[in-house]
Amino acid sequence: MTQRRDLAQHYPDLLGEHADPDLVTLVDDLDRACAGPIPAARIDAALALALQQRTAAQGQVSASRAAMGAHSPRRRAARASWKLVLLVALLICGGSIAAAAYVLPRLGIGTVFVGPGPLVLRTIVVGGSPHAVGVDARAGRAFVITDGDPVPGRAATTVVRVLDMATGAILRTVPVGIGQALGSDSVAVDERGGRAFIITPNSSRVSVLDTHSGRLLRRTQLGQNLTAVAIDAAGARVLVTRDDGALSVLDAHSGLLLHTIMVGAHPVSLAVDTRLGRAFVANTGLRDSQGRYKGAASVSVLDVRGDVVLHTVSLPQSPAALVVDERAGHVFVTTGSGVIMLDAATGRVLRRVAVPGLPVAAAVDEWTGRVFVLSSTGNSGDVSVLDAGSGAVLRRVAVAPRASDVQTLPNAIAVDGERGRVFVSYEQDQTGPRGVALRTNSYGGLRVLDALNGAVLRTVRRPGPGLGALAVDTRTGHAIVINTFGTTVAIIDVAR
Amino acid sequence: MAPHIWTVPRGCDDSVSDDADLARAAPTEPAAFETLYRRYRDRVYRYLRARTATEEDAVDLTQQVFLRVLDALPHYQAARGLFAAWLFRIARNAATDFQRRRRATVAWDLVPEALQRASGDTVEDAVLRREDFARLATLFTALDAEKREIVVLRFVARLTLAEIAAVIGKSEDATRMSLTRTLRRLKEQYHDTAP
Repeated sequence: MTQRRDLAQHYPDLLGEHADPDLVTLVDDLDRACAGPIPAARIDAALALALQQRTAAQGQVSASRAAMGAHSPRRRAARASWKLVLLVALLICGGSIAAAAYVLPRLGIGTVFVGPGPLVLRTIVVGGSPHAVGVDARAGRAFVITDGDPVPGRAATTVVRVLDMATGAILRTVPVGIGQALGSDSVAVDERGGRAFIITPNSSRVSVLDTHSGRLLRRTQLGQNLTAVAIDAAGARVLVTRDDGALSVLDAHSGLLLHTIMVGAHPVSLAVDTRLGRAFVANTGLRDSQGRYKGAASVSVLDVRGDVVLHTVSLPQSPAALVVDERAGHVFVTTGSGVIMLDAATGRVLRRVAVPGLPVAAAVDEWTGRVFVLSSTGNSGDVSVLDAGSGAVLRRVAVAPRASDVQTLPNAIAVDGERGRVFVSYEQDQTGPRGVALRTNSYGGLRVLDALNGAVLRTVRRPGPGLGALAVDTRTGHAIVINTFGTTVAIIDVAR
Repeated sequence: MAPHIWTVPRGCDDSVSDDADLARAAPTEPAAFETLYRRYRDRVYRYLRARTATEEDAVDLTQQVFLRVLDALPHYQAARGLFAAWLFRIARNAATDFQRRRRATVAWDLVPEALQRASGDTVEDAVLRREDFARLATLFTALDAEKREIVVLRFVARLTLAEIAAVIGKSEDATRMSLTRTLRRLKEQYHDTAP
């Protein structure tokens, strides 16, 4: 007790006006619960090793560029200095990290992905930590959700950068929420109506933008914890789900709220079958106080025009992604145990399809009648190619070339229906003992598959940040992809 | 029971902080970077330990955060905000990205191993302590994500209210109010649920 009473006396500012024994006890208990011995030596060693391996890798990259005849002053300097860097890096193991910290900036290693190259048309610095991207191919615009520029004394913001896909210019920046951008932001684009709809956990409102000018048209209040957004182009409506199970329907032109109905518990994704006038909402189900799944995972099937829930389909596990193939009339829902195929008209479960690992994303190409399921499989990733009519697995393709000492994390998948191509983004890291990623030799990659048979057409892989969320400009065939752990997006032309 | 030693590292007292000067010098002066690293390493680790399930992950993330800091230091501008807030924003993003990649269904987890500590406890004390921690963990996990974040940034990462406000994107007054209310609620619930 003496120690705790001393804490209250010594740190009144830490406890504020509640510097009483009970609260000191609580805070002290919390501190104990969150603390433990700090493995300082392990952290130091891990960082020193990471720096050493990173400098060595950068030296190899510089050497290979030199062999290819690169002659820029930046590359000459890199070639000349990498041997010195390696020498210095060898000192790190026995000493401080200071030496590596000294030399790395001289190599120009930074957070910006350096382009352009033969495939990267341009790299655009959007700032912050970009998480989501959408494209209006008709307007030639991209919409990137990221952190706003910090202003002293003001709260952080989440913003949308409106980009010109042809020039890479940032046309406009629109604030869409208060607080830093989070991974669950979403952009949905209605190309026919020229509207983009943005939701973010940092706002209780949907932001409606004109896709050509990027101008903010409206913010529609829907409530906290918006989770997913989808367009019903035929019905000129926008559907938005909320974590408490509400589904709101908005007018796609004005952004005005039309009405709200309740679906299942904790909806996370939705899709629309415009031919049938059906909307499908994947609900993750109930959670206990620890966040563990308790049951009632489901798909809600709605008549989107009549605004009525027609069916509720129970799922064995929480769903993640949900896509619709309108031509086949089938809905595909990914869960922890595989993919479930539903009849879009009746909601009846037609087939359960086993796929390896944990499905994380899905995309559909109605022209080829294929569904592509992206899965994380331990240290690597796979794309399962399904026939949209039968649900049969036609092929499995590795996300990236496999190696025993490399960990691959698949991130996103998108389809270019115009050219019959599928894009898969991923990040790779060299692994150390026990398969733990070292974050040293990091690579970002993009794999391009044939949308009919899943054959690998091209693999783009380069050192640096991983490649994350992506979208395709179907007019040009260019992919715009976020550099993870960075502040930039890259526009890539894989046709080159 | 062995007394818990509660140390308050530099960085909580802004009046003597030279973080901005060190950050400015660090891109070209290795000693400056090392000073910042040594100053913040433990706090960053403790914050990430509260956001991850294992010590292994927290060590890996801590190393990643400082690699990112190293990369981003040339772009750090003191006029745009406190160094600690800038650093913990990077740590927060790293933790969020990590959880997103791992598709964690539980966003937060306290350290089970940390419950087994304090040599010198009797067996009975250890059992009672474990039960207390379990109760606290349940109450803590039941908070919404932002309240948990504020509490962890304050008492684990030892950030000032101004720094926390800059990290989470709220005003200092709103942050102070949220922390006060959260502590009051936790205190009431902790003692209401005591056996």
